[in-house]
Amino acid sequence: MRVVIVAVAVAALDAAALLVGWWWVTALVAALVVYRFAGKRVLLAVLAGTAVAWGASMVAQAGTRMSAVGDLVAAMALNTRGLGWAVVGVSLVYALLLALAGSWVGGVVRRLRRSEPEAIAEQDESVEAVEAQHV
Amino acid sequence: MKRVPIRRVLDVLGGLVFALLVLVPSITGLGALPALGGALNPGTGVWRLAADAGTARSGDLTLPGLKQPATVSFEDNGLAHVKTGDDQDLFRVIGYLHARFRLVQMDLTRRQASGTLSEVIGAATLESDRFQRDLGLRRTAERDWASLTGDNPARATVQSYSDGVNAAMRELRSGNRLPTQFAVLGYEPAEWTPVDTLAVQRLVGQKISFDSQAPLFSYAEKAMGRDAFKEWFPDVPENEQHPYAKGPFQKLPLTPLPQRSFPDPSAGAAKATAAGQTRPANPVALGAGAELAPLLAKLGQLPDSGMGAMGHSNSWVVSGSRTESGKPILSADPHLPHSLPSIWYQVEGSSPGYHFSGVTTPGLPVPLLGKTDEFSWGLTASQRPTTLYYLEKTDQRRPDEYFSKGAWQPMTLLREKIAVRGQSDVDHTVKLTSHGPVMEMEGVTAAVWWAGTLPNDNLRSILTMLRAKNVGEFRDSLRNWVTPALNFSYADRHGDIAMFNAGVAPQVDGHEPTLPLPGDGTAEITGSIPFDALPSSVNPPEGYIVSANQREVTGDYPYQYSTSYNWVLHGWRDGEIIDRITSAGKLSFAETAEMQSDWHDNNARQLVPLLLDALRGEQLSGSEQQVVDLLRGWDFNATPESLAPAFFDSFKNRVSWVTFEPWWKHYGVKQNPGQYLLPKGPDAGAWAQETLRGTVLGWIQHDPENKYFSLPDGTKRTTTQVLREAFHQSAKRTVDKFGADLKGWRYDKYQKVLFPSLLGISALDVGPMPWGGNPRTINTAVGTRDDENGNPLSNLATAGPTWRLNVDWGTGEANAIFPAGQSENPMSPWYANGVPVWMKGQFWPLLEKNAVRATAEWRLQP
Repeated sequence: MRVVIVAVAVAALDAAALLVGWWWVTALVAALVVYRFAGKRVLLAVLAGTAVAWGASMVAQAGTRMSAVGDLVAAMALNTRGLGWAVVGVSLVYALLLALAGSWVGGVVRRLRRSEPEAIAEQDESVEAVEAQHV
Repeated sequence: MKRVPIRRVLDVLGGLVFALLVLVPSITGLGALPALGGALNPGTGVWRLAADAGTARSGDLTLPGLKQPATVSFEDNGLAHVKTGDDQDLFRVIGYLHARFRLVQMDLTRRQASGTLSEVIGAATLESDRFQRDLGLRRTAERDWASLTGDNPARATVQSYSDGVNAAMRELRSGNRLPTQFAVLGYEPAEWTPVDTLAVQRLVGQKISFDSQAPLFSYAEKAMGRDAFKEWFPDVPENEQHPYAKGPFQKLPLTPLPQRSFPDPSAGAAKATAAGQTRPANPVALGAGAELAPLLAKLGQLPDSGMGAMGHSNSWVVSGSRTESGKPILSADPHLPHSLPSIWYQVEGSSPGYHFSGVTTPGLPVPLLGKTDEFSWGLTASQRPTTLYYLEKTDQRRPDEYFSKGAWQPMTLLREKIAVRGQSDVDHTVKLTSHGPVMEMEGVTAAVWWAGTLPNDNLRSILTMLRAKNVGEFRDSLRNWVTPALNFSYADRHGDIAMFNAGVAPQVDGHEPTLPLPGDGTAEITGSIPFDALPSSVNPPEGYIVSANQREVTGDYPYQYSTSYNWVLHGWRDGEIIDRITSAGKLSFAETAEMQSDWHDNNARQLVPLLLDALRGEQLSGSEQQVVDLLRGWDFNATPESLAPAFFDSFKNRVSWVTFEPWWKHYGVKQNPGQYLLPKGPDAGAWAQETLRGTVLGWIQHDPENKYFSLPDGTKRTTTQVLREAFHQSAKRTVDKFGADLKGWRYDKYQKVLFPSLLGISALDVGPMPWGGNPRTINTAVGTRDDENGNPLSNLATAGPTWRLNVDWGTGEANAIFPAGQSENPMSPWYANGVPVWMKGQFWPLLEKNAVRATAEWRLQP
């Protein structure tokens, strides 16, 4: 239940911030959540909430023309048509990287404040989670 | 025990490094990449493209500074109609509109004018920035803004316009709705200033009138000698001309003109050390054309839009005696490089003191072509010399000095830093002699006097013109026009038609301003042709006036004027227009509008009959006979489906090549560094080729014994032999290139038109699409690009009629079209919606006042 609440909260906060272009809130929220709550599931919830927030915001902005927007951005950035899907993918991956960076920093701060045995255990968990993402 | 601290260190370091790797490019960008956070986030980044798709929805808006409520009505095609209760509100709303639909274009344009493109583009535009800083549009704009007094209506107009632009920018910024292109480019535009407007105004003039013909043609003049040069490149082109001002002419005293066209060096400018007053021991004489090569190389590197490489236009006015409606008709189509968005933004403006419909340029508050309630007007470029090149004497032992009037003079040095995206600032020193900014490469110095940097109050002229009630007031409004040199066509509701040439026309005693001038003080400007002596025509007896960039005056005009090599048109379009007008009987509105899509080639109309005559009795192969049959049936119309242009494209060049190529080899004429003076091959076009096309036609028609038809070694050739040789070569070349089957000769198989995006992104271009015409047809099609080997892509039209206007003062009909759209947003339905209409030769009606069928309306409140 806690994981679901975390995911929803992250999605809501990120989406609200994105309305005014505050992309950095994505990293900040992730850092605060992971600082407050430890665990692999929490990290996954943060990432899920982030993806939902960014994806929903993109849909809200571009609507049914998301592919067309991506196509145009690819044209402007790469001078190539037909790569709209790549721009969508890059945007989502970028959002997840922001959340991951925030999560890592949040986790580090939390571990530094905890006792050593606890920190070791959580660090192991955190590293596994990151590795899981890479897989 | 040891494992724990290492892992913890790695944990901390890893987190920091990972965060930095993600956050740094998010905030600052990396290399050419914009700041990713700003660019990719859905709220303000690229994903807003769809939301900002550039259409307009009805609603109430606030525009601070408005004195009274105003409205902007939009037709479904995007055309805008502004109605205000105050004159200054009108220009404030136009500024607001421009910024809402063309902010990226406006910002890039002012950056180009000011030499600050590299700050947001990178090193690719450094050469353009250097050139613009040398030329000094920004300096002249600052000078002219400072000199605009409070009682000058231009001052209030420019200020109101700037206020409108800034109001839109504030609104867009506060709503996170700045155009998405800024997110991609990774910067935000600064506030708009009146100086920006004046700089953009001068850039428009630069695109029309700044040219390098003088140094370019000096290669030929130096190699051939003056007499031979003048035979090939006479003042008045050799073939049939159609000047609209036929005299008799008065020689009036010259109007004073400053030798120094640019601003006095401003405070803080570092001056060169004063030099000793000795004569040079070994001055470097810079009179030979070849020594101009570095300068030309530099000019050739300018972006297409920075040089007057394409300044064609048509405009004709027909009096009521020749029209169905019994009142005048005006047609105008300015020819410039195509772009998306267009240089034009079409608008109807209504206020207590003004009512006009026409095209504005984003950055400028007033229309440049259009109509009022009283009259309609068009523009064509007058290709007379307004860019003068002074070859300064310098000495490497005296850097930053030049020799003039018997003594060494210090150059004025302005030291500037050019910000360049992705790298450190670049130092740049502007060098000024008494003649103008210096172009210096490899120790070669030339100073450029350009009329575009003279003090200029053209905005006031236009504001006065917009209130003119008759032809006399219209003419008077142009009296102080400075630059670019233009022909203003005019037709009014009272039944008058007219054409007035306006702008300064520098005169130089004892030297030709169309060739490089000595900078030693012996070739100073003595003044300008006075306005009252410039070419003009009012209600001529023939009932029409045509300007299509031809030489406006006859050979007895008593002033220095344009020459055949000063990029005048050689009578092709004007000849065709006059033929159409005089053969039409009573001209209808529909007929004059249709004329703008005419693809008849006047050069072919004159040359092909001469060729067919020359081929009588000649032994022809089967394929050659096929060409002759094709030519016999050709109406000289270069339509997309026509076949004969496949041959004539080659033939028109080969006639000049066969005639002149042995001679320029004989004279040792050198190619300029950009290799566009002489054709690179028998089928290539070139600047000299354009002039020689008229020269050789005139000789064939009127001087068939001209010695240049023979060979330099004395071998006698007749015009018939020259035409036959050119024919055999061209026929073979056409078959080799397109095959023997005539189906492969269709013109639109290789003739295309392209509308390039302003950002230079080919993926955002429209086209290439099958097309017709050529640079000599009324519906002109000009290729301004080169392929990767530097060969001109003459069959890829990237320039042509950028707006077409027709006004019939009898029926009240008016229409217009431009091959683009009102919005710069590529996702907007108004991005390129004019292109298909333009290509079909159709128009959008020019609706005004209550006739407007608005689909959306902005109600603007103070």
